[in-house]
Amino acid sequence: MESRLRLFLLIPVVAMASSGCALFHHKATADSEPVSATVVDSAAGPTTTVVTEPVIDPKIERRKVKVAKIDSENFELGLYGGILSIEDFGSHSVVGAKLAYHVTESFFLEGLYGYSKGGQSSAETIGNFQLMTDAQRKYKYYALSAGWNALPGEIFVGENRAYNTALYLIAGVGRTDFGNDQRFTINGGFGYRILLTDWLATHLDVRDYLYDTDLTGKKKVVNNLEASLGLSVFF
Amino acid sequence: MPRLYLSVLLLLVTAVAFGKDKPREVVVADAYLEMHTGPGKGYPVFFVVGRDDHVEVLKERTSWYLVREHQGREGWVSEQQLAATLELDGSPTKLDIPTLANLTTHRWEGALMIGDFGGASQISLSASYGLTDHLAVGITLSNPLGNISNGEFATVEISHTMFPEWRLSPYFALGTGIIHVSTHSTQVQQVDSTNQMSYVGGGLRLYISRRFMARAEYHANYTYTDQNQNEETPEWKAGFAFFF
Repeated sequence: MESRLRLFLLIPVVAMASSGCALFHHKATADSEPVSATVVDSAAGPTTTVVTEPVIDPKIERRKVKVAKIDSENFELGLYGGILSIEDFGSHSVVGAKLAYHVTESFFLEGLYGYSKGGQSSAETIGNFQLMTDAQRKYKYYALSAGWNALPGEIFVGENRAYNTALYLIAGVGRTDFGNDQRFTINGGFGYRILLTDWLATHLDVRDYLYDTDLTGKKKVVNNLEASLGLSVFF
Repeated sequence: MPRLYLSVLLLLVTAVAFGKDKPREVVVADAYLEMHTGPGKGYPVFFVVGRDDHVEVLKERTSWYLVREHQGREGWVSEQQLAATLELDGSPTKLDIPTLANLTTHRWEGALMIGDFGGASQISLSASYGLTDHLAVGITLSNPLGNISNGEFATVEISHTMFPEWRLSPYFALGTGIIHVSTHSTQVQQVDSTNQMSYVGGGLRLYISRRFMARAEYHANYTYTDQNQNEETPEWKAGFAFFF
């Protein structure tokens, strides 16, 4: 009884398996058919049959090599802090942010925005009056400049350490907001960049900002000198 | 506030430090490949990689590439020398070097110009997107600063570059926007007004090298005021532009 049942179950399995094989066999021959036909045709000689397909299929799939993109790091973003001497209104701390774009190994463009606050002028202190309100003493400026890495070099710390440096000259234009007034400002100066790693740099900057003003009564050119230290990252 | 600056900086540092793929590898095909200590001609050569050696290209800065040789030494290689190496499949190394040919197909362009707006010194920043090789749409932020008054204006424009494939090409622009003008606080007669404006202009674009261009432009500006007459202000400016 058991063997009969086993036989009963086995028949469809065998049938399915054989039909499956036939299916595969058919598919396999279907795939290889043109090749074998060509071989037979060529073996029979060119005088009797016309070769419809070439012996070697030239359609070779090209090997695809994935080429990794090279990371470009031409932008530099940084923060700085230092001392700004505001003519007639004393020297005060200044903070700001900078974004630079390195165009070539020698030239770069830089945009910055800084903030400081002016104090009382000598005239105000002596005369005991207020030339402007406290809010108007806020000193804000932006500058767009072009820089030139004039002296690239290295500094050596001990026997085994060397850091890339560059002394750069920079000049540009911008705007200064001070005393409820906005003035077109020219800037110029120099800086020293020390690369701590390939992407991290420290800056020492000295900059002069020049603009016309008539805040103190008579129109004159003011020179606001700034010395700052900064840290920046390349990306 | 300083704490905010610090956290922004830390975020940037981590973003730079992570998120890197496996670097590209190339094979030295010339007799040697010179590794400089820094990305510039002035930095000395400290190591030379021989022919058939593999190097990994880590990053690019202007026209210099930081590479690492198989013993782990890292140095900067000039674009010219790296272009003479081979990819792993034997084909010449393909570098993304912008040329005059890329100028016609580029899409994004940024410009920084300074000039004169009706007698006031002016600074302007602009960005544009190329719809076709000839036509582009852009926005400009300008800041004229004069002895009597200051202004700020933002405009949108459509421009047509006549011969985009030429090294020197003229272009024309039409634009419109909003202008705000205010006099200095020390002036007796105070003006503080915001009006609509439009302009017609033209200029010249000169391709310098890589992704760098020089541009000079003239605009005839019309400000629609509530006076009997519209104000006409001539404006010229010149500066640098680069494309991406």
